[in-house]
Amino acid sequence: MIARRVPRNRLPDGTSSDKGPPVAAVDDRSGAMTERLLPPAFADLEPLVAVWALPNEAARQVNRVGADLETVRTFYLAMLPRMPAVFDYFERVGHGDLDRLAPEDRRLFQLAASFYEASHPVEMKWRRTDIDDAFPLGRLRFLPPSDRR
Amino acid sequence: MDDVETQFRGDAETLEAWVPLQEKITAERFAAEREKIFRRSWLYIGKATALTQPGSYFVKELPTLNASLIIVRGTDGRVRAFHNICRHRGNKLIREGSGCETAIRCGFHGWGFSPEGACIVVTDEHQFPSLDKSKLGLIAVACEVWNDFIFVNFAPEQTLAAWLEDMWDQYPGYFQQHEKIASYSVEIESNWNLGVNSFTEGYHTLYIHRNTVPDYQGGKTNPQRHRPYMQLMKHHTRYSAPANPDHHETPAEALAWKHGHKMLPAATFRHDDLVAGVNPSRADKWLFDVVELFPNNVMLTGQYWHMVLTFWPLAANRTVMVQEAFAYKPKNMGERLSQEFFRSRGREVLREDLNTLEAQHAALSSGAMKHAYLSRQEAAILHHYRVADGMLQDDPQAWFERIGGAALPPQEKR
Ligand code: FES
Ligand SMILES: [Fe+2]
Repeated sequence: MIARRVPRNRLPDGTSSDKGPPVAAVDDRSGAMTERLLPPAFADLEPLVAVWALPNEAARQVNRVGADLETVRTFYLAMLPRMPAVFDYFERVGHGDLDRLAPEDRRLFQLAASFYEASHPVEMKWRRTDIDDAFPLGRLRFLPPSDRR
Repeated sequence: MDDVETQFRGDAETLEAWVPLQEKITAERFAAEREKIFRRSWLYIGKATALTQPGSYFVKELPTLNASLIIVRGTDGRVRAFHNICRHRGNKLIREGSGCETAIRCGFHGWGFSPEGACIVVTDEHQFPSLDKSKLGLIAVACEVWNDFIFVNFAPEQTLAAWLEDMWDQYPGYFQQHEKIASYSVEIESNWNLGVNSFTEGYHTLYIHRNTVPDYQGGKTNPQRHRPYMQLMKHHTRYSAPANPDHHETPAEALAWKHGHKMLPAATFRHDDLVAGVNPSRADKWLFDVVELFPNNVMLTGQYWHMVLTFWPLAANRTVMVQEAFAYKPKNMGERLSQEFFRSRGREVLREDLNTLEAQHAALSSGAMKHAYLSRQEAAILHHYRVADGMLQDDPQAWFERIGGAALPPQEKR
């Protein structure tokens, strides 16, 4: 079973027009610190975060295989036109260390990594979201770093 | 349609195409392999990069040889291997995992050992008659490091340098440029030889991988995907896989290569910055190399990445496979994202490779088919069994002298 990621912090209305860092905003109603889900330029992708912004390769693959082909294709098609901008955005981050990313950047990365998971069944025209004639996914043990990023 | 002829180096001529495959997976054979092959071979057990500072250690279980080892970096920087056994009464010193300690302490009676293996603490030591701590150091296993690859040997007959032959100095700095990006393991109901064999021929790629990497190899000028180059060494085999210059890039792939190094390219290669060991024949349409490090390891080496697959037999019909993928260190997050294509597609390719092993083992173990008939493109498999059979002969020394270089052309320095 896959635990679907539930967004912990919904942005309060009106704060999405924040420009630049810092990314934390005060939710006046609860007094708790909240984060935006994605960098402002990618706010249009926020509805995808809950299902697809998963923390590591293992979770992303299990999620893809567990989804049906139409769901995966819809996600792929939503992401594909946005990927050049995602790459441009990340090329401006001058290191490759995911642990140093702000939470909304990390979620964007995870979304884009899920795009690559989704690309295999869609672009290779599989009949379903897993390959035919492959070693059972449930018997594959993900070791570091595949189990953590 | 033309065909590419494989350029062989080493003795491919005397390989017998018929191989008694069924006898290779029996329990009797495995009992002999364990003693005469695994105990006497240099075995890759992990990368030295995991041992970041003096006192850093990890525990490596080797069920194949019924052993547990502690691999530890000393204060002198050297990496050593010891049996994971306390010299007092034989407690398992470290249960599992990794860490960093100035002294390795035993939980049973409190003895302590230095990262160099010396016995440094004997508790209540005056109760031991004429104690000589120098006789109570940890029991060492031969351990050498090659380009960050840690190897151990339980009964070494030659140095690691001699074991690796001309590969020893052909990869300066190459592996160190890469960092680990993925790793998986599986336990399979199959013989370890079959596992190694399935990664040391390219014949299968047209068929097994049609859903994942249908057109990276071969192409119009090499439709059967003949290996351009294959080198049979005293123990190991190295060959190059042919790139298809007409490979069709999908949109997700094109984006990845636009924003990071092209990791699975087709014929647009610069050879000038490759070390001598990678694409050793400087084949024109080159994709990557496959190296069998005899007995149980397969390395894939590309321009910007390498993979390491290690097969640890638990029994004649049970094997643990560990795969590790390494890639260039990204200089920005776009390159890191670009690697997600290679990382995730590579895993699906691996799952295709693994999927034949249990069925093949079950079919062969029926005993109905004694011999298999192999192509010249499967010469690495034939060589694997030739080397193994040699080591299984009763007099190993005579065998080394017989095969030692005699069947090979003079070594060329690159
Ligand atoms: S067995 Fe280790 S101190 Fe006694
Ligand atoms: Fe394969």
